[in-house]
Amino acid sequence: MTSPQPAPPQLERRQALVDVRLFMQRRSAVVGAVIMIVMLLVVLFGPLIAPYSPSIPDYAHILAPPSLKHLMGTDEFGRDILSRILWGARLSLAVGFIGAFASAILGTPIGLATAYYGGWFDDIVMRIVDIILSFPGILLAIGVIAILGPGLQNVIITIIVFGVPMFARIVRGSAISIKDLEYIEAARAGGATNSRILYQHMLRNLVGPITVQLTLQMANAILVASSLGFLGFGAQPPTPEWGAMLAEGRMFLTIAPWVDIFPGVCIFLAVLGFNMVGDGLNDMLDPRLRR
Amino acid sequence: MAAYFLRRVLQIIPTIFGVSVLAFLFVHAIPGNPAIFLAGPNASTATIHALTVQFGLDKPLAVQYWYFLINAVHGDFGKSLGDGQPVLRIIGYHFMPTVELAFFGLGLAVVIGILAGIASAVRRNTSLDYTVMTLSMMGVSFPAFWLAMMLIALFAVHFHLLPSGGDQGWKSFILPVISLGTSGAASIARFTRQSMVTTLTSDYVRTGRAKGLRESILIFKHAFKNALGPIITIIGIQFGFLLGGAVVVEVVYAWPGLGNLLITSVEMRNYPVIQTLLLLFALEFILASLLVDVAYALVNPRVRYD
Repeated sequence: MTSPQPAPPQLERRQALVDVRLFMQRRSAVVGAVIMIVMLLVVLFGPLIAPYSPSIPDYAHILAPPSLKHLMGTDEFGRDILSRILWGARLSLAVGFIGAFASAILGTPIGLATAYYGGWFDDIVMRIVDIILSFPGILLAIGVIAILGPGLQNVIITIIVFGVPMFARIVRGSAISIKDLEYIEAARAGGATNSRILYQHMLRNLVGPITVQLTLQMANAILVASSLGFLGFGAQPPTPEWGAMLAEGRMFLTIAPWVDIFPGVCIFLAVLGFNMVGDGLNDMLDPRLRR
Repeated sequence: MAAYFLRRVLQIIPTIFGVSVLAFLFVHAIPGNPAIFLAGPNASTATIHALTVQFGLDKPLAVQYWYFLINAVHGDFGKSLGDGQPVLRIIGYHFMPTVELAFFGLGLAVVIGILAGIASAVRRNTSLDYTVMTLSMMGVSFPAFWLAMMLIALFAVHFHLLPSGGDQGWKSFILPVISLGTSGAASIARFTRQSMVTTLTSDYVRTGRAKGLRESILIFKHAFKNALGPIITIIGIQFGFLLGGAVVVEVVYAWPGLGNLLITSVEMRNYPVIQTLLLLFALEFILASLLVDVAYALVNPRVRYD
């Protein structure tokens, strides 16, 4: 009984999320976190440090290549691309944040409830989830846009339409794996109500997988939003949303590639940052991958 | 095996039913009378009324759905707005280019992804592994349309090596296929590595090594065969992403496929075409999932007893 056994994996799992040291050991996760922080700073202070207006045309400097005056060059209206990117960060990233958070807030209770109650309720809800997720992500988004019309607000709605079932499915999966554990049974035996078990005991232990999914969902939401912007279904020109900037700049790919390079790099970096952090968190939470 | 297959086929029927209901409701979710946009922008009141009666739009929803289903089973998905051609014929024109693109894109993703993933797992924690994993992390983060634009700028505009768009001969396939396959290859590489690391460190591989089996036999016959299950699953999921990615990639390369058709139809508010395309894409995805499950059962006999 007293043999020095290693700690059970459950304990290790719960500590992992708050273990900053473990996170710092993963170089890619740290790089991702740095990118995320830079992006956040740009969202907060971008317009303040932008050297030019994002919208006022300057016809004397149309399609100027990158220079000291315009670090990322100018577009077909002579607008400074760096300034537009700094302003547009709010739109491109906000869509990701809002879409992913709203999906988590709506999808998590559904996943928890289906796992906990099971039965016909679970069957029906999960069947609906299967049906919605039978439409490949961006195609569902385009379908919803076809109904609602283009616009940034509708892009957020499409992301939520796809994100909620995704969260419900993942939270349900994780919740099923813990709902028969002894401490849940103990709570029930101790007279805890259903809602107390769900929120106090189960939700707390699912914070890890939910955080991972939230981070990856943000990456995905930014990709979908920029793709919709590029297709002309999201933010409309002259809004400096990054995907919409690429749609405008597409015509100048042959003569002024910088118009297309920099907004794309920003989308790529934002998505990369969230993916790296999500991946790092995922590895930390999964003891099997620690080798 | 046959019983498992049959059960799995029966299981997708409710999903297909649900997807058809959703596609049916799609037209009804648009504000206003469906007959007005079915008739097109310049239709007279009489035409709208005729369409209302023809499609039974004055009947209860359930009855309308029944008509929709019966027509769909007979291959009648309505007429395209504007030119009035049957929707199915229009989709037929655009079908093969997308199938070809998806086929080569998935092929590229599977071949590169599996090879890179195996190499990474075998040479775990070496610089090769780090390089593959870094590249694959970047690969899943590229917006496909932007990668497509950058490839055009580099190979079509700068080096004049490849055409920048259209479907003219094998050369025009190269850039779209790379744009489409990159993220899939990256995803498959990551899952292959993960799955292979698990099997390569398992007892049976260690035993095989102890008894002197050749390393290549160990890797491909023992480790890879057992790692195949999760890899097949991710390939199935990638197929769905691929269909979505094809839409934006087709737009960038002016590819005459279903993706381009979908975007033009949304812009023109050609709802019958959009409806049928959504249904078609969902059915393809469901079919792909079915194939994946069957393939999974073939490589992993244990699941058949579940």
